[in-house]
Amino acid sequence: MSIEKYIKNLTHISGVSGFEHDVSDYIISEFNSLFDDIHTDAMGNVIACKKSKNAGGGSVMLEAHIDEIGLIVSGIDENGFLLVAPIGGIDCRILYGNTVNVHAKNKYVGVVGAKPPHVMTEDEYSKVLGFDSLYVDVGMTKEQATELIPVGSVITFMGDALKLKNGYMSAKCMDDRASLSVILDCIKKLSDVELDYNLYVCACVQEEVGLRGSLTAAYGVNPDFAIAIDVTHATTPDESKGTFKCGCGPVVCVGPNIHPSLVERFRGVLDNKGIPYEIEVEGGNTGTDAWSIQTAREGIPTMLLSLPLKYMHTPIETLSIDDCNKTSSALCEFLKSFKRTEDALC
Amino acid sequence: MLKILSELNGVSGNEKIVADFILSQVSDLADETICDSMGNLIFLKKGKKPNSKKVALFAHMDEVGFIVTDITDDGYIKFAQVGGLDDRILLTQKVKIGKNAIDGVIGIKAVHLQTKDERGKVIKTDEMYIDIGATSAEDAKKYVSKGDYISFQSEFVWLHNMRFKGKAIDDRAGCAIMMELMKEKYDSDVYFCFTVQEETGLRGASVLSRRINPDVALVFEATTASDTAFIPKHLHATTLGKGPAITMMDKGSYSNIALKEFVVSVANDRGIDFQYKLTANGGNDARAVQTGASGAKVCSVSLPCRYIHSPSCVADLRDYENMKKLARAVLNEIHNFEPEPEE
Repeated sequence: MSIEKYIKNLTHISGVSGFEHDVSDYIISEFNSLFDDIHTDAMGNVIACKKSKNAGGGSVMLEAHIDEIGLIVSGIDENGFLLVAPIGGIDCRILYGNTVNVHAKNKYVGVVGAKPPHVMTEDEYSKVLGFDSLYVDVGMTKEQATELIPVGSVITFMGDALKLKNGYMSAKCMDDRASLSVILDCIKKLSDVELDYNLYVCACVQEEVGLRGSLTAAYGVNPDFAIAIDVTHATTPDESKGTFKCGCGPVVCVGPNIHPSLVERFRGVLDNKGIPYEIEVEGGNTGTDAWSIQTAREGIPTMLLSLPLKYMHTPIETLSIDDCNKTSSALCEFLKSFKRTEDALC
Repeated sequence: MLKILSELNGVSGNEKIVADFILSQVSDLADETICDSMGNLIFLKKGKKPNSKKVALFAHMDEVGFIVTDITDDGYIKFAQVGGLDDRILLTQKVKIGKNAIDGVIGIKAVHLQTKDERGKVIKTDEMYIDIGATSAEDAKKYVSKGDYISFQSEFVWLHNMRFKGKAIDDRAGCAIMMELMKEKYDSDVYFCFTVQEETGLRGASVLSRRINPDVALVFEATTASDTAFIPKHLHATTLGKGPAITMMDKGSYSNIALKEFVVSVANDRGIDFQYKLTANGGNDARAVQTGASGAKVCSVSLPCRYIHSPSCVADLRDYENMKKLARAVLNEIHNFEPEPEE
């Protein structure tokens, strides 16, 4: 399966933070043929291992998160409209008019609604619609909604991935299913390669609500070092500062979150193989699972690779498939470049 | 039929795809077909007992949307609105651009990158841009040109309770009903008028009404429903599930009282659910028809529709069916409509 196909399948599935089971089911089915051992920890992280025949080579952990931002039903009004609150960071300005899926025992289609113009004052019309004036319309009466959609049901954006020109693709939750697709692609490329260390892949839950899943996953795996793969902001007409042009290849983070000699070695491999990349400087918290993994147990050397992504945390997160392919190649080349994990760290 | 019509793209000024589809479906049912220079479609069905009364029915084919105004150096598309849209429903919508239906998305920088001030500000259409994946202006120009029309991409999907969501329900609902009505014969001569450019100022209907100069005209529309959250009941303009909405007055026209009473009496006689539109806001082709030539007696009957002028209009199939029933009943009786002679 190509990265593009993985992205299509993975972004189609819904898994708001804390409700990732449908994504983990899919991941496990895809992991089955690629790994020797797969298990799920108490948080819900899926942890898979490609075991080495040679004991003593150490272990490496690749990580991406499987949760996505969304909404949660916080109440039902007297006419059956669903009142909602955000899970993860959402710009409330993008919600009005979007179509969503409400996940209860069954899946229901809804529309994010707000007051129509004719009942709005001039003043209201010029204001941003916040969560106090937005709701989800599923077409139900109060009685039906109360019966079918328990408070606490989660809501995701609806819609399939859309192909744009030049290998660009737009979908919900590219953050971070695109990274997971990169990892799947990389592991497939390595299927005939005999590694001298154990290679773990962790598909982690609850990143968007505070980097929680990766904390226990890293604890459980206890690798010699870890590479987190996530998305970073790509350049758009309304933001050029500190962003990366789509197509630039993997974005390699440096800063206190990142193990210096590990990243140096990684860059050396990319330079050597002629794989383009950009450097992202983060002076503190990277806001990714790399941050929590680094301080798991007694400390784990950690690296962060990112895919440039436009319109993060919207239903139209957009990236270049080319960047995904380059990132997969970079990862693959790096993993083949050392025999024992201690070689990569010195 | 509603699904097909809803998913066709026909922004005001660019209704050809919709017109061609309607033409292909119903031209066999008409005794005469006229396509005028504006793009309006007119079908005459001769009556069984033609009398002097000229009856015309109106629905508009166009929908709100956008037009390409410029292409930026880095290959993004700038655009303007066609028809009236709330700026706040546009961000992150998927669109189709131009004849080749190029896919695009209306972008906005991530919430993480916004300042507190920015988060509290409504972004206007002229600040927005569409991303088609182009890498430069030159690249974008291979796919998109200035003046290309842009439609929302929004699949027609069923919600609960026979309710549905889709784009352009305003006024493909009216088109669908008229296409159904054309299958039957009536006593009077009936002109079925599918108009263009309603959303940009009733421009199709105004030329069309002068061509036909009807005595009696019924306008089949979609109108705003505000039976939603956070809105007190007395402000519910129309309510889903209560039947088609009969207009007494809106910003554009006052329905002819006798004609409105006639429509109401037909509904009552046949036991068809209906409601009155309880706001004087809005306006439609009735205005253009009423004042088009030497004056016509008009009345609008509309499908209640939430989030009208958005990619996600929500309406109720039962209202649609009742509207069709009422329209058919009125047409079957319209030869009996004899308003008080004018003084």
